[in-house]
Amino acid sequence: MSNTDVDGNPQEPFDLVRYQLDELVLVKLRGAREMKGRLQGYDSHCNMVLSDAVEYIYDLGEEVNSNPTVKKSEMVFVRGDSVILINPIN
Amino acid sequence: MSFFGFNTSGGGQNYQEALKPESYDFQETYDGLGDELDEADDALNDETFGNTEDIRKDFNFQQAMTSRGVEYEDRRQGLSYAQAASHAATNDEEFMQDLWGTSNTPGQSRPKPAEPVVNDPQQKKVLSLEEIEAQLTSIDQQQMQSQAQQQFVAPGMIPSAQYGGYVMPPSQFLPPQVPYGQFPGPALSAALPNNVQGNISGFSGAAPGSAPGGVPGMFPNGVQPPPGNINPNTTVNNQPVVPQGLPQEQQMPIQVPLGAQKSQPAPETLGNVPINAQASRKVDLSQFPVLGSKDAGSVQVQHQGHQGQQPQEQGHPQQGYPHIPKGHYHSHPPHRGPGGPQSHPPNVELTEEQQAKLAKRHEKVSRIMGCSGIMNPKDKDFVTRFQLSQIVTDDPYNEDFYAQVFKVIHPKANTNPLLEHSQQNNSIAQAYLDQSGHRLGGRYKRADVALQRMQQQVQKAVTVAKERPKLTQYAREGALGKISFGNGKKPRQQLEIISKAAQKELEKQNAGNDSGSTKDDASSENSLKKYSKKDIMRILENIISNLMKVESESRVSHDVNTTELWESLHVLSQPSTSGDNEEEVNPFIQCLNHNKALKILSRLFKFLTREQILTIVTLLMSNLENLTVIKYGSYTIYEDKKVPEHVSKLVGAYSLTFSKVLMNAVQEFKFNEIIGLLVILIEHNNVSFVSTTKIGLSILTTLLSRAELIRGEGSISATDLSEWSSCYDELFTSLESRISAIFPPHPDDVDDGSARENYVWQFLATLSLGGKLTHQRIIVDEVRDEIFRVMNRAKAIDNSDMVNIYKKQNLLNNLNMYLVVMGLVADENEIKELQV
Repeated sequence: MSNTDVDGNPQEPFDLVRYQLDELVLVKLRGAREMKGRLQGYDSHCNMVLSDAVEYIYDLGEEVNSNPTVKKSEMVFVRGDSVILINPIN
Repeated sequence: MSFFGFNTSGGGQNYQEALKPESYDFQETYDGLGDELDEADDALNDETFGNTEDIRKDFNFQQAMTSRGVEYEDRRQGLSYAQAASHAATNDEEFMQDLWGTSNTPGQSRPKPAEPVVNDPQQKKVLSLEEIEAQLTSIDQQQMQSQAQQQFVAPGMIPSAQYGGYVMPPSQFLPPQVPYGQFPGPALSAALPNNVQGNISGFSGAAPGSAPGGVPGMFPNGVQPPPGNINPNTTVNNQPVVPQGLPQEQQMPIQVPLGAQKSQPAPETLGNVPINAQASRKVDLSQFPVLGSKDAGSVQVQHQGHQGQQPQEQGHPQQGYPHIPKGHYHSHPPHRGPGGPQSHPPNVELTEEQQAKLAKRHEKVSRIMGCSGIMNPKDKDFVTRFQLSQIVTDDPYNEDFYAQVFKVIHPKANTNPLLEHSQQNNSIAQAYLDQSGHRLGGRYKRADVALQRMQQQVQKAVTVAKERPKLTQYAREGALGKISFGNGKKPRQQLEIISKAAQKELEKQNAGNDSGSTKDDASSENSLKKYSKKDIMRILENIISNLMKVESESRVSHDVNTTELWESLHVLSQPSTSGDNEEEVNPFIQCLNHNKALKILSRLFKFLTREQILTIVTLLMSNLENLTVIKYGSYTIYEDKKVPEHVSKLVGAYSLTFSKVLMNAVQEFKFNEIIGLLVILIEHNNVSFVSTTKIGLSILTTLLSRAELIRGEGSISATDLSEWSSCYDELFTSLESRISAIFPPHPDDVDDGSARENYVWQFLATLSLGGKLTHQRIIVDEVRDEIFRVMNRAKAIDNSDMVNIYKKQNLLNNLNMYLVVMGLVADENEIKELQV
């Protein structure tokens, strides 16, 4: 992966997040949670605002295949300290 | 100072005197020693210090503050920031007038009110019950005595006596201060050099000073000596010296009346005034150079209202409690806020309700006052400036975008056009005052003065903010990262660490631009570059950030360089036509598949020249089928003949953004350009496929209708006209026999009648308008079924269905838009000729 983009601008790690603005992302969170939603904004702490978000809370301890609890919210703020990874959804 | 070895058992008195100024320190440092003290002679200690027994190392300042609150409040209330800062003539004049008015008015000779009435919370605290009683009883005696001299002495003497022994001398000296409170410290210091004389004079100055405030009190009940009575030599002589530093307005009133009517204390007494007194007073002033504006307002009121009462209060201190300077009381009318809890001798005149109210207020005030005085004005200045510097910015549009926009949308009526130049600062200061509910501000009459002061603060803040190093200045300073500076939008981070890779890349770029250009050459040799999704996202984000850059520049100057923006669009970086491999399509076209690109389109087009827009539209025409909304926007490619939701959402976004931008752009195009665009469209796309999509159809409609409009203006050359007709023929040919296909198979999805517009009928209307009669006939033939279907649907909606009847009307209206072109009109039952 090059560190320079098409315009010759230097790339920084957060650019990967920046490119996902207004796109659907999957955010993996601490506490066995995941969040899918449209990335509306973020900051250097990985605080994020997701719209049309769906939160999946996985039940640890129970049988592996148990379905996660699902919570939907129109707009949600995700505090950065619980973010493990951010992944684009195509 | 060492007290070790000091015989504590013996000289309790001396000991105390020596220690009193630091009694708290003492208690903390020499724990236990105090227990052995002989406190026999210290009967009044409690009153003086409050109960000191429970002062330990975990001293609660808040509590202490309440007991000391008197002094703090005095200062605060007696002194107005705003006044000191501005010397606002009006205020001072008013103030002085009040003061002098009271001293000269009949108020003095007025019979005393039965009791000292309104007093403020602090006073209450200071006076114990016994004191109050004593005061009450003493009133009569005092009246009899009429000792101006004694009264005068009291203020002077007290300081000297107290200073050594009392913890809070400043408060005691406040009386003299009040009148002077308005002078900035320097004024007094100017007087200082005069040594003893200066001191005396300073004091005498103070006494008269207090007089204006307290005069009525000093000479209660007409007991006051006749004016000019005892005109004291020393003091009078000295007086000119004192006021040196004082503002003129103030000086005058003080002097004149004094010389003329005031009796002066005997010189000897004055001589007693210790230098401390002067010093202490000075300290106070410097610490509290300003009058609490809000109080200042009430001061005046108070003065007038309580004139009569003050005298009494004044008297008592002298008699029973010399240590409580009467000047203290009367010269601090501010204390007695109009509503101030009047805890003094229970006020007979107050109803219970009022008392409860007052008590409540008192409680509130004391709660507020609890922590008051912790910060001195300089601290407050600092904090204020700091806060202001955060809200002041050189670049309000970027830092504070929404507020600025709001301001534009809701312009405040400018009531004072004269202040135009200072408007900015003014508004910031005003806003700050409004916001913070600052005690100097708004609701009270001193707003203007406070405002002035805030303006100064803002100016300072702006300078500070400007001097703040810019981010770039300090880039990569220090080993751990670069020092960063915050602003309102982006608070300061301690460290800002750039990734190594990014930094290296940056250096590499700076090192050799040559290598960069060769790389570009290499990539362009590959002729067709493939763009990954990430590349597209990157390009798109770059477009957006460039756009924002340009936008913010355009707010500053009208001449904005948009080349960088144009280049970031990559419109020309790779030619492509419909049907190309998805990844090789021109990146700008690929960008248009993303919602966020659509959102910025209208903003983007504002900064592009006509040629650039034409270029983009041309590119678009040749790439229509590369757009997601076209490529996946046709029902024909889906088995269930339905466009999937995510595409139809994008289509919706297109009609809200893209279609409008395109329509605006097309307005600028010339006739032959539109013909050219249509030709390109027809060449590079399958028109019948494009026409089965909503966006494709509306693009066609846009171009056709614009062409019709220009044609209608009639100023078109013959060659253009012939080109147009051949172009139209070509278009029509590619559509012919497939026209009915433009109607989606699920008409309810497209138009259930709730919309006032129907793109399909619009298109047909436009197409018919441009065609000859033969064209129109062909069209009618092909869409006849659709026409009847619409009429049937309209008929199906019952006339009594009030909720849906508007749909019926909409359906027919949309249909008629097309039919009218051919001189026809339809209702739900039949098609008739249009009656003109």
